This record gives sequence, C-alpha cells and structure tokens, in this order.
Amino acid sequence: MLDKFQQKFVEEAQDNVAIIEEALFDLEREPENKEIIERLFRAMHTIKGSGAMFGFNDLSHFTHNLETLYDLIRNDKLKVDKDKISLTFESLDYIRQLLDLGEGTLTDPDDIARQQAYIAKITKYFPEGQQLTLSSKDKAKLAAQQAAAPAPEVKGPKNYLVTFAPLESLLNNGTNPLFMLDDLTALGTYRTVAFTGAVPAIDAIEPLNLYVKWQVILSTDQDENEIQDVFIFVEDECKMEIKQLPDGDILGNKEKLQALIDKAIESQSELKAEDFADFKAAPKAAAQQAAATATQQPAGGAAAASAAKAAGAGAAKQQDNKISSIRVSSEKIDDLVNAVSELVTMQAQLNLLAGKQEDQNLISIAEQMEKITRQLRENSFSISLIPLQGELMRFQRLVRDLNTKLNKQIEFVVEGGEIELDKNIIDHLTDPLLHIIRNSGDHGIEMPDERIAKGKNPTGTVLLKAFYSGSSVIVQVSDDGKGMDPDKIFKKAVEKGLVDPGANLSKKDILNLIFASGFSTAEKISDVSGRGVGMDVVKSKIAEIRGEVTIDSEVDKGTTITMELPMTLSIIDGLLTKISGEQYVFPLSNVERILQPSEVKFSSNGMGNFFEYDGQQMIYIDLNKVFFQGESKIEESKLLIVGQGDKRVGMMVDAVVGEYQIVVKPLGRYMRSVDMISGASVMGDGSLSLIIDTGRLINYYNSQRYKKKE
Amino acid sequence: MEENNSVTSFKVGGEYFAFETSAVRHILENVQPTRVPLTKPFIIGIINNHGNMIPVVDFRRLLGRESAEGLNEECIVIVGIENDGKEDMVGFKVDEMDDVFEYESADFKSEVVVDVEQKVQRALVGTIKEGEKFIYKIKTAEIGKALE
Repeated sequence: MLDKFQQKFVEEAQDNVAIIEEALFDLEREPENKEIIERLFRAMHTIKGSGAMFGFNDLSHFTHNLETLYDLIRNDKLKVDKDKISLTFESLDYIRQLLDLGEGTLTDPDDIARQQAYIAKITKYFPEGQQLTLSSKDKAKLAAQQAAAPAPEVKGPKNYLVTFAPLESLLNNGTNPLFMLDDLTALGTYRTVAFTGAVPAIDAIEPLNLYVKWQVILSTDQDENEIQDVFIFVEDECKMEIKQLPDGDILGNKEKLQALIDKAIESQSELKAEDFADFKAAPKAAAQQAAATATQQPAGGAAAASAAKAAGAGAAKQQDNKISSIRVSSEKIDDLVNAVSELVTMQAQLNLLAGKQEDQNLISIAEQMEKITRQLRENSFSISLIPLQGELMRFQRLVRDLNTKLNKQIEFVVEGGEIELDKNIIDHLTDPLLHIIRNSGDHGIEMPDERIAKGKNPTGTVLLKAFYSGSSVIVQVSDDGKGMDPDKIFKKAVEKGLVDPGANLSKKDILNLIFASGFSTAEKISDVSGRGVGMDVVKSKIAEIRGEVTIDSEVDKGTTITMELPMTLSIIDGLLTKISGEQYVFPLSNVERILQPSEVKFSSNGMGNFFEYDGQQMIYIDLNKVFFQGESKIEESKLLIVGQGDKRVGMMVDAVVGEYQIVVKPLGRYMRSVDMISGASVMGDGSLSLIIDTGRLINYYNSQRYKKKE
Repeated sequence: MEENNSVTSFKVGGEYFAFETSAVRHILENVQPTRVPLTKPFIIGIINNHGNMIPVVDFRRLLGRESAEGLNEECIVIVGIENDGKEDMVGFKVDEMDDVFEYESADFKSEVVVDVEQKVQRALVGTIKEGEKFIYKIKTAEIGKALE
C-alpha cells in the first residue's frame, strides 16, 4: 500500500515522465537544442531524487542511469540520435510500469533481471575512453574548457572550492542545507568550513532564518556538473560558486590547509582560489586562469546557466507556469461542482421566494447573490475543464510506434490542443481517439512507395483538429491516406447481413455503415488495429457523452472523422417544456425553432403524421403519445423543430415555459434502460424536470414505428 | 462471524418484509415521485435527495401485484445498495412502516418459496418469526440485481 506521500510522488513522477516524453518529441526535431536536454535532465533528476526519498529505490537507480546518459549528452560527450531517443521512450514506459507497480523495491528475480537488461541497454552508450564527439558550435566552449583544465588527459581527482551561501530564507522552503552538504561531500573527499560570522546575538536570532554559509574543499573524480546538480533546486535561493583549485593533494596537506582555514575563520573572509595557489607545483598562471574562467560562470551551473541564457525568456516562463497552477484531486473538483450546482438551484429558489414576498431588501440580496453565484458557477465549471493537450502525447506516441511497427512515414499534427473540455468528456474521448488514429495510421495511410506511386508525399499526415462551434467542441481526425471505397463497404455490409443487397443508399449512408456493430473493414487482424473493437464502439462511447460521430471519405484523398461534443456534461442550456403536466427539458442546441400549430399545415397518412416546414414534409412526434399513450390537442400544443445530426423532426409538447440553465443529474444505474431521458434537473421551486436526449428519442420513435409495422 | 440481526420491517399488501437496518438510509413520507416515462413497470419515478436522483420502486409491482393508490401511510424507504464499491440509493414505496428490531438467530429460517419472479425471490433470503408474524428478510445486494 502506498502512503499518501508516496501516492503524491507517483503522481508527480507521472507528470515528470510526461514532461520528459514531451521534451523527447521536441528533441527529436531539434537534437542540438540544449534547453530541451536540460529540461529532460531536470525531470529525470527529480524522479531520481524524490524516488530515492520515497523508497522507490529501483526506480531511482534506473533513472540514475538514464540521467547519466543525458548528462553525457549535455556535456557533449554523446550525441542525440534516433536510437537513443527510442531507448528513452522505452525507458519511460518502463518507468511508468515501475510507478504502476507501486513498489519501492523489486523482489521478483525476473523483474530484477529485466531491469538489469534495461540498464545494460543504457550503459552501453557510456564511453569508456571518454571519446568526444562534438558539434561545431560547442567547439568554442570546449576550447575554453581545455584552457581551464590544461591537462584533461591527466586522470585522478580534481580539487574544487565550493562556496555555498544560502539566503536567510532557505529554511522556509523546507530545504535542509545539511543534506546538500551531505550530497556534496559524498562526491569525494572533503574539508568543510562553516562561517558563522553572520549569526546575530541570541536575542536577535530569528529561528527560521539561516545565518551560516559554508565552503567546501572537495577532491572528486566527478566533474563540475555533478557539483552543480547538488544545488539544482536551490539555485535561486543561494549564492553558489564553484572554483577549480590546482590539482594535487590539497586535502592531504593538512597543516597548511588548517592554517589557511583558521585564518579565514578568524577574519570571517571566504577562502579564495588564489589562496591555494602554492599548494602544489602547479603552474600558477594556469590555476589563476582556471579560477578566472570558472568565475565567469557563476551560480547555477555552467551548462544550466548557459542553456538558460540561450533559451532566454522561455525558461523563465516555464518556471512561472509551475508556480501558477496547483494540483487538486479530481474528487474535490467533482464535489465543488456538485455543491455549486446545488447552490445554483437554491439560488433560483431564493429568487422565486424574493419575488413572491415583494420585499425590496430581500430582492436586492437575492440579486446580489445571483451575481456571485453565477460567477462562482462559471469559475468552478471552468476548473473542471482541462485542455485536450494533456492527452495528446499518447497519440503522438501511438503514431510514432505505428511508424516503427508498420514501416510507414506518418506525421501527427495537432491543431487546437488548447481547447478545453470537461475532464469526464476527455476520459471518454481518449479510447475512441486512440482507435480512430490507429485506424488512420494502420488502414488509412499507405506505405511510402505506394504513396510515391500515387504522386503523394511519401510522408502521410494524420491531423487532429479541435475547435469550438457554438456551445459544442468539434474534434476531427483526418488523414490523407487511401480513403474508403463506398462500393467495398457496401459489399462487405451485405456480406455481413447488415444491409439488403438491393438497398439504395447514399454515399453518406454507406460510409456510416462502418459504425454498425459487427462491421470491421480490417481484412485481417493485425497487431496494431482490428482487435475486435470496431467503430461501433467508438460511436457508442461518443454517444455516452452526448456526442455525435460522422465520417467523410474520398478514395485516395483521405478520411475525416468528426466528433461533435458538448463542452461539459454537467450543465446545459435547456428549453423547458411541459408534457402531460410534467416538466421536460430539450437541450437548446438541438431546438431550431418553436412553431405555433396555427402556423403550419398538418397532414397525416399511412406513413405517419406530418406537417409542412420550409417547403418540406416533416414528420412529427407527439410526445404525449410516446410517453403517456395520450394524445395532444394539436391546436393547444407547441411544435418544436428538433435537429440532431442530419435528422430533423417536429416534436409536439403541451407548452413551452422558457430557457433555463440546467444542471444535469444522472439518473443512475437502475434507470439505464430509459436512455431517451439523459438525466434530471432540480428546478428553482424544488420540482424535477427530465432532460430529453433528442437523438435517442428519435431513434426510439423510429424503432417503435418499425415494430408496429411488423 | 457475528451476524447482524437488526432489521427494519414494513408492510406491503398484507405481508411483512424487512431490510437490514444497516442498509436503510432514510424514510420519507408524503413525497410524490416525478414520473419517468418508458421505464420498467415497477419504477414509479425519481425523487431528489440532496441533489441526487433516486429511483423509486413500487414494491407491490415488484412483487407482481397491482399497485395501490391512496393509502394513508404510504412511505418511501431509501436503501443503499452497494455496487462495485459505490453506493446507489433506491427508494421503495411500501404501504406502511412496521418496526426496527433485532431477531434471534433461532427465529430465522433461510429458504423461501413464494410465488414471485425468480429474481425477486432470490432477494428474499429467509423468514423471521416475530411473535405471530412471519417477515421476509430482503438482501439488498440481491434486490439491486432484480432491479437492473
């Protein structure tokens, strides 16, 4: 069982894995970009560090190796290439598995062997002889480094003087500077000097302030980056300086060192690199030069600092983003939204009461309350909306895997990733989207040579596009592949007994057959798609969130699948009507017009009841009849023109009450059979109204009619 | 294992039934459910309970009898039914409430054979003899299945 801190770690680590994944895609495009490498490195470092802290030792160990790989890359010792990126992707999957496992330490020998195999894959890149491959733009930097370290081929420990002067406020963040010193001194042999000169008199001490600074003389095999990494999280909260000291056994020369330290403590002045100049017969000039070059790159780490500079404002902005958002459990948000929904209902009751009492004071309070309530409602609903972006990485990944597995060249392009949807909708959307994108890649996009033969770009494109349309969100997946042949689909549907061979169907009708259950165009089941779930599952999944799926396809041009989705499931704009004394709500977006029966001409024949609208004969459904086996008095009714997808019908109700914001409450498990009622809502006076799912109602009505005919 | 013997009994069409007291959430009087069309015949409609929509089942119709109109003490017993770790509440319209009591295990006899639909019969896990009365004990998890 994970405790709550470990749970938190797992969540954060998952975020970091996502950051790495995103950065990897960027890196694939710009393998030389230092800022991206730095991003990767930091995320790995966090996983490693906090993993060890929360007892995920094997995870930490594994990530450490990965981090080392990227450390070599950022120090220009290794170059980014496709293999390494693929390996990193694989490693991320493995890290995810470890996180899902939720256990700190692997116990199963198979698991351990597997981890070792993974690590071996990573470590094979680690150079043995420090062979350097360099890109041209880094050569200058290397030259500087070579100047700084005049004899890089000399092996053995190097000496550094690390000055760590935290701000007084460091402790406020829960950072323990002693742990950092522990980390630092773990790198090699050391001598630490503490400067306590700034500690005030006891009555002036603020217990939460830190008054001490340290200097560490460190002798280590590790390079400067390792030292900087110790301080990676406190860069902004301390003054940190690393100076290289002359090579040689400074720490071994205890007496001389002690004298130097005593002098420094007595005068409370920091040790300087120059102080160590005469420790060894190292050329003085070189040592000074070393110190000089190192000081040019102050606190923050040479690579990090230069990368940050290169990235400029970008890096700074990223940091801002982190601070400006917080993590809240989705349960809390659900609770909040529920409570606000209740409040909205109560508010409506208050308004009603205030209006009845005709008390001016009460009315003005109710009005004020209404304003605040509306604001609160809008805010809390916007909290429950999340951008599509977060899910897109999985699709990127999917397309990348498809490329590898199928030897295709597919580019995945996203437009409108910032579009926000209710998280429940996004949850429902992911599987259908994975399925659709997989289909596009597997069946839609042709092999490169086939594409060339057709005069197309060998690289196919799968475009995911999201945009707002009224109160809906449209999510579209289109590919420029081979498209679907209506004749083929029709033949197949006939084979499967889904349609009558003599049926005369439009192209659109035929394409829509792929949504019929039991239809799968995959000629054989492949590893990638066609695992028995077909487009019918996509359709029903989307319908569950009150969405609509349509398809359009052109042979050799490509296929577009369009999903129209509501922005949120919990609140809709509704038209309140009355049928047989009960209140029914139509989603306003589905109601085109309200007609007085006196405005239209009715007719009725063996095919059904009709009226004339827009010069067309249109069927109407008498809801009194469908719901309660009654009959509406036409002249006292209202006729709604209801559109759902490409279907439009008339629906007859007793009266139209008005437009309302409706908080949708699900009817729950035991009412699932009533699918033309999508939910209920509490009205201002405490009564309940039922919300009509117009699409399902039309389908239900049609199925009933056919039943009667049989 | 200690069997929980506390039950809440009620009367429907002259017979006595009982839910485990631990499953009973509320008892409501004088509440008129909102009709829901095209639903199962034994569901009368829904009621609002603190923002949750709760279906109300006509217990008489569940037993396959005619529903009764205009009874004086008509009550709705709201029962929590566990499903996949989540609790769904369901209201049962009954003729009148009877008692809350603990029965002696010796007074409980499992096996019930009555003339009701099989799914409903499965929910009747036994009879409790309480004085002169015989009370059918209902297992909430099973009655939930009968409603689906």
